[in-house]
Amino acid sequence: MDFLASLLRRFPQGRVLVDTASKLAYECDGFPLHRRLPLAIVVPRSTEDVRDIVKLCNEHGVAFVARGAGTGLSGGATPGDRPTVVLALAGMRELVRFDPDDRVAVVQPGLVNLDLSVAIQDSGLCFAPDPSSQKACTLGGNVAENSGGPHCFKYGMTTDHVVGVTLVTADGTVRHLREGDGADLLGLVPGHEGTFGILTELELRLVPAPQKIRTWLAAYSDMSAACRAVSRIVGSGVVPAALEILDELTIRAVEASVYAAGYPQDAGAVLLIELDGSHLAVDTDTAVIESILAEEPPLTLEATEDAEQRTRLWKGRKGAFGAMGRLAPDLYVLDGVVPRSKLERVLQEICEIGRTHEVTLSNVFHAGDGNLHPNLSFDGRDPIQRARALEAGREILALCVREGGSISGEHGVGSEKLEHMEFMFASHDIEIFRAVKACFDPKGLCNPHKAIPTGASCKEGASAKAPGVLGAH
Amino acid sequence: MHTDASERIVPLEPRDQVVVEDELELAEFLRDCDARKEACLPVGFASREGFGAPVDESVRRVSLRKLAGVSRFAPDDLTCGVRVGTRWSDLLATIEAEGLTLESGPIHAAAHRSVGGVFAEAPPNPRGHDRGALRSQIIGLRAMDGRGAEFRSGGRVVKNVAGYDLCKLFVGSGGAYFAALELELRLVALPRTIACVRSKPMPRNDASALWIELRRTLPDTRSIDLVLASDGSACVEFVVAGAPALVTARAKLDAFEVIAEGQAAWHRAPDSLDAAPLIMRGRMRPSRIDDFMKWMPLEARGRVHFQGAFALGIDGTVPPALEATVGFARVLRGPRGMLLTTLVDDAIETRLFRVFGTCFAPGRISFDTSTPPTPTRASNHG
Ligand SMILES: Cc1cc2nc3c(=O)[nH]c(=O)nc-3n(C[C@H](O)[C@H](O)[C@H](O)COP(=O)(O)OP(=O)(O)OC[C@H]3O[C@@H](n4cnc5c(N)ncnc54)[C@H](O)[C@@H]3O)c2cc1C
Repeated sequence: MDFLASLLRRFPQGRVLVDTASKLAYECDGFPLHRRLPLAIVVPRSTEDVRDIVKLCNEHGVAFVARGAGTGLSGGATPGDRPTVVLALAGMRELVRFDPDDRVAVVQPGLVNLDLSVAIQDSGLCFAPDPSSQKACTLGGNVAENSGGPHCFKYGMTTDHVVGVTLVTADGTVRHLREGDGADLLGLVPGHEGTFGILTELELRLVPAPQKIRTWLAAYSDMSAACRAVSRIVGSGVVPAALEILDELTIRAVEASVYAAGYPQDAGAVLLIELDGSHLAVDTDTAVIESILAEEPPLTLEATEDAEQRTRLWKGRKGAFGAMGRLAPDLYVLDGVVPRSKLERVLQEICEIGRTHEVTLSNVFHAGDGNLHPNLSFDGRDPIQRARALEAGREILALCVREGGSISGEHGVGSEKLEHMEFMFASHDIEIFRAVKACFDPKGLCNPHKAIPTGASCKEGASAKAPGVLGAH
Repeated sequence: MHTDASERIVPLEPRDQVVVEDELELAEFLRDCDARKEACLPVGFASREGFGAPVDESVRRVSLRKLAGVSRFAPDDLTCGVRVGTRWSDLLATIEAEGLTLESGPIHAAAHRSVGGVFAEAPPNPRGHDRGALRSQIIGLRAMDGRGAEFRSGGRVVKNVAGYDLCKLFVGSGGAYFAALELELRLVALPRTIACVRSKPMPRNDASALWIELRRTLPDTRSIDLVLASDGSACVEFVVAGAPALVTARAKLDAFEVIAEGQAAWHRAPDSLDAAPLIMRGRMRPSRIDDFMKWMPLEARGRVHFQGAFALGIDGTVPPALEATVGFARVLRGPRGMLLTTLVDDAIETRLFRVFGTCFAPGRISFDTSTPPTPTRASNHG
């Protein structure tokens, strides 16, 4: 029996989608420069469903890829360049178990990040990783990408909050990996970008929800002053929950959009600082932050402990990518990292690269940990603009690595950055990574040609390039 | 200077192992093992073996103690690079001189521990329950596989998701996969004020109830331990750090007293399990603490950390019922063959050994009661 017939026999109508309209909805994720129609979309409801799909793929030699909400920004959930089945996991969204004493929650992978914290809010606990996409992205996607977010400066990345997983590996074996259980195979899983198997259950660590939150918006005349304030704060030993900067162009785009947050439009940069924790901890650290702000005085300063005001201050930051839609039809969000002490200088060089390639470049970034998001706005219908944006992106990531940093702080390599892996890793490193993947996926069926260059072509991913459409965010 | 009882442990004499002078010599040694199909085990100062861990005489040990020194230190970026043979205490002395430290570390911060050994062994550590667990502190790694070829994973910045995270595979591996050469670490500011606060001794059941209660209600702690004494009593101990006003307020709890302050509180390593014939470490779910205590022999001493990781010294044998209540444990020191199983039965684990060459000896000695193993290979140590 052929593959599709076997799938249709195993799953009831409506859970195997092969019509073109459905396929179009799954042809790319939040990185619209790579796109390809899937062979089929299957909607599993349980670990057993996933196991059966994967076994069928294995028997028929068909590639497969997991998809959560499709908000990934590096092409991770996009079908590859061979016929690929998409496992649409967004429907597996149960909170399976919540154990406040052990501070853990067991969830299905399709549960939306924010929904977990909302579901347990009465317990005084929360799930700390908070990608800006947290209203939409799934926890399975977060674990697969090892996602960060504004508050990972204090609380760490998703990997620091994963205690156990159920993973269906590429041969259809269901594996349970837990912290402290034999070798730390669990530690390999966050950031595997869906290339080891399909996550069907996650045991996540919870932290106490903050009793008090204090947020400042400091508007500076230029980027250098904002970066200096960040250095002083980090040097003081106080660990804010978040330290985020938006540059001049971003401020203007945000203020002209539905995400307007009241940021001063004459500022060269705004710095968002947030402290959270117990009442006492926030009060004692507030004194330190305020003395630093007195030494590095902003043009204007707003501070609040009010939830509504806080939401307003964050609205501009969280909506920044969306607001970029005003600048050009397409957006290429980069994700380079540099040592924090080099932020100021590297940002100047990045702007220079933008000027050289004549692309519109704005910056929104996690300043505390040096994770930059240079945003390149362009019109993908124009092949020249498109080529310039890609080349500027390549130069910026090469610069980040030259300065001792990384090509990706949180968005993953996906199909987007395969070519850039050689900036960071030698060929033997890549061979080891490939061999590690083969331990989980010997036939190379699970999200092939993602995260790690396969050596099939040094221009991997290029085959899937098609004209970009409107920036996804 | 960080001292504690385990400094008394004498490391193995160099004649028991090959001490390589540099990385070239290590590469040659590994290629030789590979060619002869002999198993090898990287060690630092071999203090684990001095501590009583079983030794398999057929495994060639190679000490990396001379691959030492802090190779890169960027205080402004809160990162440093350190070679694996560096003494843990030397690393701490270097970074603490600049007002920085590691969020978590072993409670027995003995001089004879190498940095590589600490991460490879990943002993239970009290701090880092909400952030900064031991395994999160390695941000990059340079290592050598079993064919003597060098490779890297991670990088030098605190945030990085490019490439698979092989740093995690090193943490707790017991040296099973590859020989790490140099680690890149994430640092934190040494808190301005630190206090270690302890309750009075009390019956064990009262102490475990208090431990559960404080875990739920006491904010701003860096650790909360349940400490078991060999006389059958127990107490609760916690570390609080930060601004002086915060520390003073949190340290003021009825029937508790401050037993150490400043760096002494941060590095406090008060329990010695030295004399115990059986030393066991593992992890249990805190919600099962009552079962755990029910089966715990009265003379057992040691501590249970916030997340349920524990290290205990026991005079007799491990009661079978206790095994059933813990998720995972391994015996560090004990009569040979007792409860020692090498977990190489998992297909992926076995395949991973092969990725890095086959000469490294499986370093993990475990028993796992949550999913009973059916080993395909007999224990090395039985
Ligand atoms: C506006 C916007 C803001 C963003 N902000 C942030 C941010 O602050 N920080 C950040 O880190 N990211 C951010 N992102 C990126 C993205 O939201 C994250 O990478 C997120 O974790 C992806 O989740 P998802 O459910 O959408 O996963 P998808 O995009 O569906 O998939 C991402 C990858 O995970 C794999 N995957 C998904 N589910 C599973 C599973 N169950 N098992 C195995 N593999 C799986 C996929 O195959 C794919 O490789 C942002 C994106 C947008 C659009």
